[in-house]
Amino acid sequence: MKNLFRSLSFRLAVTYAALFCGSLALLFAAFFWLAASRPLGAVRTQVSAELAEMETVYAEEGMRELAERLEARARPTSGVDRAFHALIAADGTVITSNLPSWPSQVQTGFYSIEADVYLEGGEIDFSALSRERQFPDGTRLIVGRDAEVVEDRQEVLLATFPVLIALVLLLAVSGGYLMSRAIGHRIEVISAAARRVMGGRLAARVPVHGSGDDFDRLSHTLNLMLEQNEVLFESVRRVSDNIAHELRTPLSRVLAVLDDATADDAADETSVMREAREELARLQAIINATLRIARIEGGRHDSGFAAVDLATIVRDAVELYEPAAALRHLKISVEGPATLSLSADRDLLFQAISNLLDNAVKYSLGGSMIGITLREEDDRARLEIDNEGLPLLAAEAEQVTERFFRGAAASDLPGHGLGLTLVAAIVQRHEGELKVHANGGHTKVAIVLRRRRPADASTKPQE
Amino acid sequence: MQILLIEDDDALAAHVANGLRQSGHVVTHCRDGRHGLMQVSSESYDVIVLDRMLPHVDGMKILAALRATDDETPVLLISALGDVDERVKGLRAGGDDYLPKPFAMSELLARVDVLARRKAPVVESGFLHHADIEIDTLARIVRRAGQRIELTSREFGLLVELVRNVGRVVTRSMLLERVWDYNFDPQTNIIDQHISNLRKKLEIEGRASPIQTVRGAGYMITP
Repeated sequence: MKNLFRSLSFRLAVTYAALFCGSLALLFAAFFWLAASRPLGAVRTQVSAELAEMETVYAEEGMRELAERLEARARPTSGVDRAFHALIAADGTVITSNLPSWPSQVQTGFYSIEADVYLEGGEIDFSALSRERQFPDGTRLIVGRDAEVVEDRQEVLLATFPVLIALVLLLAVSGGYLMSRAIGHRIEVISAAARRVMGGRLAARVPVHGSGDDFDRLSHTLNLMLEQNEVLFESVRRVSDNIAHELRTPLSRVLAVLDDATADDAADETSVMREAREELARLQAIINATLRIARIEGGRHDSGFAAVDLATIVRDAVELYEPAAALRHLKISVEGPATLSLSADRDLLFQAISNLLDNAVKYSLGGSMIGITLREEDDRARLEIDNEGLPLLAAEAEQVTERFFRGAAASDLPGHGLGLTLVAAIVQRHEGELKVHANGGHTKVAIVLRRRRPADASTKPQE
Repeated sequence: MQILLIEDDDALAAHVANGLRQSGHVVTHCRDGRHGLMQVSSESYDVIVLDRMLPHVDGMKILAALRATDDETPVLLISALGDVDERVKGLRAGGDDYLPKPFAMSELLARVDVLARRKAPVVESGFLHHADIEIDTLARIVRRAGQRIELTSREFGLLVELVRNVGRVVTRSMLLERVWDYNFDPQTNIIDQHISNLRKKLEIEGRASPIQTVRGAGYMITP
């Protein structure tokens, strides 16, 4: 529901509904004025004028004349425009009247009196819009004109208006909902395709509806972009594979030459040769790590996502590093649940955790403690590795996952600066989060992984 | 032993053939996939060293053709594709071992030796012996001179691997592949500490550890 209110199409639909209701109200107001207010105003003007006229007649010509004029006025000329009146003497005697009743008290302003007329056995509804005047001698004169039709119309209009607005709102909101669902669905299809590409399936494309609408045009453009990206990516990949191949073969030959030079007698190996061999091993490690990172980042690692137990993987990694830790008098503690299942690539996770442990063992203060905490957080699994050792600057903490980055304090220790890059690539492959906090000599690395894979990302990347 | 080497890089092939011959093997070399495939189907070898990427016929195709005829000759794949998952692919396709380029000759020799031995039927009785060391692989119990030695499961695995290959060098990467149930690249020589612990545990009553370090190659228990 929250998503619905946040969707642009729904908000547009609501805005549109508001505008529509506003214009409807305006239209209604105009119609109301034309059909009800104005005719009523006309009747009021007429009644006021007649009252003033009758008042003059009374003042100038007296009661009798007035009564005659009133009766003459009340004689129906046509069925529609009925005139009503009542002339009541100061003592309450009705001198002349065609109204069935009137208010007992003198009223100021206009009021309506029900004045139904029985004609030839039928009843005709009239409503006399009336106004009255009391002459100085106490005589009451009520003058009215029929406004039944207009008043009825006014009543009906006022009663219909809220219902009409409610109906329009209902239609607009449900229309908006349907519209946002339809548009949301199209957008979701595009996002899903984008996620597939991000997940490493470079050949994935946005499905085209075929209707040639705006979304189809967008999909088409996106597909052109994806195609171009794929071509570029492929060429980069071919180049990097070739580089790897081209570097590895000469490396093999150099190793072969070194081997041949020392084949007859191991004692022939000079320190120069040994050094060369060590440097070659280093170079090999760097090439391997760089290529591996590129493969994982590019989603080309043929990863097997399956249900694995993170706790077991952590225990195995700890077991691997325990002898090395013991050598530096480090203790490794593991806290957390005995099992923590999640969908992941176990080899990659093991690689990531062993890289982190390798760093922790390498950079910890001799005799200190390496704390590993494993936590279950709803649909996520959190792994934290704490250690105390070489200070990492806060600025450095943000850079540690960059290729070949090495902290200032660690530059004397062996390493290529690729260990954490690989960890970051693995975590990214799992759509997880990697955070490195540095506080003086205290370093905390946290990995948060989703326990379940989104369906489309678990499929194998297309080669 | 009769070894077939299928490798397109002449310099590397010459070096590998040379190294194998020096270790007493008879080597036949094929320069491309087509010749390799012909050799494989016409002659019988103890071990085949096969490059993955070859001109004409790909190494993986040769491997598939070999396995399709129920030929169980051990195959050591060598490849410039060194990533861990490439190794898994190679092994899944029927390779018995996988060695990424560049490699040290000692690593290749060690692997060829172990593969050649594997061809001979191994009787798994559940008991392994070496000198005064007895291993019950089912109960996972190790005794030396009748005295029980407590090992971690990985130390046990390392010892079994070394005892099974007595007289042959077992390299660090071979130990990692066989004893740890994960495909990964350790950043440091993490195996050494485990071997060192294993050695200490085997040194009872002043007896020396039988595990030798072979410089630049790996470890070995001499017969």
